[in-house]
Amino acid sequence: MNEQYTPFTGEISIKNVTKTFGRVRSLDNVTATIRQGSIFGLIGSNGAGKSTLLRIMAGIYRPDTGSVSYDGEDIWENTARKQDIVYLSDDQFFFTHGTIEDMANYYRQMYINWSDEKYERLRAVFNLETDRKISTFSKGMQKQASVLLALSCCPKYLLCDETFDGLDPVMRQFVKRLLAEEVADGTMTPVIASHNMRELEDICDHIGLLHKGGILFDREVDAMKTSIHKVQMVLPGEEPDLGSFRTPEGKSLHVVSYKKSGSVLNLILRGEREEAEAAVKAKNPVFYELIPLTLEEIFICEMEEKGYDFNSIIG
Amino acid sequence: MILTALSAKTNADTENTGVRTRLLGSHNDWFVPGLYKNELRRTWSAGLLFAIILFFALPVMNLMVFSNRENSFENHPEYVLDYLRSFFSTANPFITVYACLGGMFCAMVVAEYLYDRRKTNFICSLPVKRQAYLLTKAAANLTWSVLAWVPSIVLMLLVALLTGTMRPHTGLVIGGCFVLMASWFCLHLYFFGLTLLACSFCGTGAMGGCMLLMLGGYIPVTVLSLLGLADMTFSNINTSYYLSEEFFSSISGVFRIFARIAYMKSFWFLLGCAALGLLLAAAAVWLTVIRRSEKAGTPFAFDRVRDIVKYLLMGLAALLGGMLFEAMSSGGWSFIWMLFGCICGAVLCWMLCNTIFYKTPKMMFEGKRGMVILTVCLMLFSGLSRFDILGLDNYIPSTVMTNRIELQNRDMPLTIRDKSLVRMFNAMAKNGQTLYEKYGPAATYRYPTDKYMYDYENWSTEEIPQMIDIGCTVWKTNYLVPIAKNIDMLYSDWVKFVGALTAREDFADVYFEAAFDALERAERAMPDSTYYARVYHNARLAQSKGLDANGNLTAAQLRHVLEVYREEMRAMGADAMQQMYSGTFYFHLDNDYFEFPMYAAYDGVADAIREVFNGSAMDYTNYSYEKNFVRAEVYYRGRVIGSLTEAELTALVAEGAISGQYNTYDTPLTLVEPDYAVEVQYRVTETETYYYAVDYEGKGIAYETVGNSSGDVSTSEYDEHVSAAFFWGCVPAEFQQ
Repeated sequence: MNEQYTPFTGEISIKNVTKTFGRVRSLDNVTATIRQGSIFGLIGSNGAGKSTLLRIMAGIYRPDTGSVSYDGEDIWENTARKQDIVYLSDDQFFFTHGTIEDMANYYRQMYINWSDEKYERLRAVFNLETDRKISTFSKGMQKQASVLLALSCCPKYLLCDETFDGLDPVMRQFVKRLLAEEVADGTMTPVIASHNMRELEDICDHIGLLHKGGILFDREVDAMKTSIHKVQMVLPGEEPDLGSFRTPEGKSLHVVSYKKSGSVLNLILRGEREEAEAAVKAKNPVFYELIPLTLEEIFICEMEEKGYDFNSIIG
Repeated sequence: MILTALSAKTNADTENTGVRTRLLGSHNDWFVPGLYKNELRRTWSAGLLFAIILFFALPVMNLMVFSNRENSFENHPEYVLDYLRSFFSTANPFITVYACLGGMFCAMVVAEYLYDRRKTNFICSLPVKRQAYLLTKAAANLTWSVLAWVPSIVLMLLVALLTGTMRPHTGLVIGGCFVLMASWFCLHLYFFGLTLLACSFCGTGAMGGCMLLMLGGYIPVTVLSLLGLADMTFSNINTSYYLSEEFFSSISGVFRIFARIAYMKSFWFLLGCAALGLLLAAAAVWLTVIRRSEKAGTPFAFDRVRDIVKYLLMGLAALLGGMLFEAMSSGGWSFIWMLFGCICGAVLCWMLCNTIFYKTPKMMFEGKRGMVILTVCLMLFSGLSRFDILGLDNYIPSTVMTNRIELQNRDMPLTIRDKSLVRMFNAMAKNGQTLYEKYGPAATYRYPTDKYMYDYENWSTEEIPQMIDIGCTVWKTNYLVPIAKNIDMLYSDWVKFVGALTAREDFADVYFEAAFDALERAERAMPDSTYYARVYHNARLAQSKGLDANGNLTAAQLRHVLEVYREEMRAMGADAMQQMYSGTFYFHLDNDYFEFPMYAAYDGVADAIREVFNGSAMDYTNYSYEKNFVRAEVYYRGRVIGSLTEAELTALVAEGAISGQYNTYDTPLTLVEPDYAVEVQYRVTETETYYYAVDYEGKGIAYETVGNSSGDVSTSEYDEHVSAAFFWGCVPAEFQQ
């Protein structure tokens, strides 16, 4: 029975997914939604369940409970839905004596969206020898080959598991730019799993934090960055009351952390930038500066607020 | 550069719309054509390997045999034909071995991705159904396996056609090639399915191999161990039957296939292999679909299977351990040692299995409760067998447990389920009216009544005639009456049924031998002692006399005798057919055993043999019978389509069916079943049946087998010209192909 292909419209919806390997519960009641047109970063320490979640999303593993659907249809053994999803493993498989050309032939038979033109162009850009055995490539070159092949499949969702590991900094940026271009064109949504938050910071616009099989956190990066601010300020008088950071309109801002170093106060305030600036100005500081937080700092704050020791989570 | 490349990116969505429709239409749940082509490209080397193997095993081997036979009497067309018939048939042992190894190799190649986690993840992430991937890969693999035959077949046919080496039998070679290939394919499917099933249970190649061994050999090995235990612990158990090829063939498909290498493989047997192979493959596909991808690289894909295998192996290890210690010990402590061995075997196996299955010695003691329960059960089993709590160790079959008595004869097997006979037999045994003896290495008790055949007064005891009455009645009803109705025959009394009554219990075979003529006995109702004496006398006379030339004649001498035989057989007319059957000439030639009927008219043969034996005469006159022709009916696929006159029959037999060629008992049965049969009834207890089959080219009769249902004269002859032409005229037009 042939399955009908319907145009891409939807999102990947993960609902109450649990997955157990023997006695180890890798995913525990995970719920998340990955919408099109963004780059979704999945971070977590080793063993947090990132790869497992990606594999379930790719239809490799079947969840013990819960479901993963794409565009409203279960992904498991759904060949039509899987046409739009390409999974890039951290240790991608290639045929033992296969060349890039061999693999391209294989993918060509499998993925109906395969674009020869795109393949040819990317091949030229990556500058890889397509008639050389992939097994003789370095790890970084193998990663490049896997990205080349995956992008040539023109997937709607590209599931990348530690894809940037092994790439040199130049190539890493290059691949990120490729992904960003695809997203900008609205043709692909990469889901990137990594334990390195700094790597995801400059590319992801949505982040999910996995810890011990559960999603602790699932937010838009922009929203996170605009809702929390680091302030360095010097006040003329005594230390301020931490509950007294208010906007001129009287809205109280939450002080996430507070540290004094000499006369300099280091604060992290939750609220919009304008609100934070207004609240700081209201204290008539001798000097003040709003510094953008790194993603890692934001997560530390968020996790500490929730009672987790972030360093132990990310390791 | 990047931006240029990307900005020039094609509008893939639009462009691919048409392509999608086309490609999706070719994908389905069971087969992916694109993948199939790709697999064919990737696995051509396997096809080449198969082709090379077949090249050496078929055309090269064939030509080598012929070149070795050059200038030898074995190069005679009849020998060539016989060789070709053996070679191009299911009896060719190479085919079974090749099908076995090739089938296993192919299945392992198809299933190899299940053992590699990386590859499994890759495959399962592709937009292909799991069953479609497996089946497409299997199809590609089978395609190469089949295509590998093409070069060899073409070569053999070219040799046959161009060199003339096989020219007289080109039709046989052509047909034989396909018979050979078809039989290989059926066996290949069986081993392929079995191996695929074993592989689908497991997550590593090594464990898949072990599982295959277990699927193929666990039952026979366990049964053998149980029999060994029974032999050790029971005094009266007869294990001889269970140690037979027949028994193991019935419990092990793999054993059966290999046991039959040297025997016939019928069309239905091969078809059954293929069907079973497909069934096993279907089960393997189902398991592959339901198995978890993450099990790749782990010993077992299913935890439950892992536990079952563990407990099965523990049971076997306990049996072997118990037997080992029982064998090493003696005296009153042997049972204790057996229990010790049983426990040791179970526990050691449990620890070893856990270590291997969980891939860490830390899990060595996993599942203690199951181990303890199983060990206790095994100890109880040992106790039950040791002390025979169920009372199995009894050489006298109990009436309750004896469910049948078999009346045995070479050609007329019959099972009697009459309990009165069972009761009577038991009563006789208990009253000491029969003797029993223990013979052979196994504890077999045999109740010989042969002595009654010598001391016939004892036949007047009340029970024996009664028993025979029952046997005769049943026999007559089931066997003789239908025959009598059909062929209106009259039995002469020169030969009598010599058979055995066998009471078979669950573990014990008890033989009760008697000699009697069932028909006469039933018809005449004459249970007198003189009658039995005569029966015995006649039965003894019925034993064929023969001349065994084994070791006495050289091949050249045999050929000379056979030439004479051939000429005399051809010259023998209708009158000569009624001459006395004078004996049988046995000999071995070319590793085959031959048995030729001798007639009194064969003076030349007799002279030839006499000459070889330095003038010592053969005695042909000890017994004889007349072949009084009654009728000869022609059957086409089981239906009577006509009859032959005696003259036609004689001509047929003399010129065609028995055209002077030798026969062999090891004649392989090809896939072509006989189409025609001529059943000739003589006024003796003998029916000769001549079988004919249409040849592969459809031109006529390819070969004939002349058999004899009574077994006294058994010939098997082949000819594809003379008798074919003769016989063809006998077949009504509507049946001619």
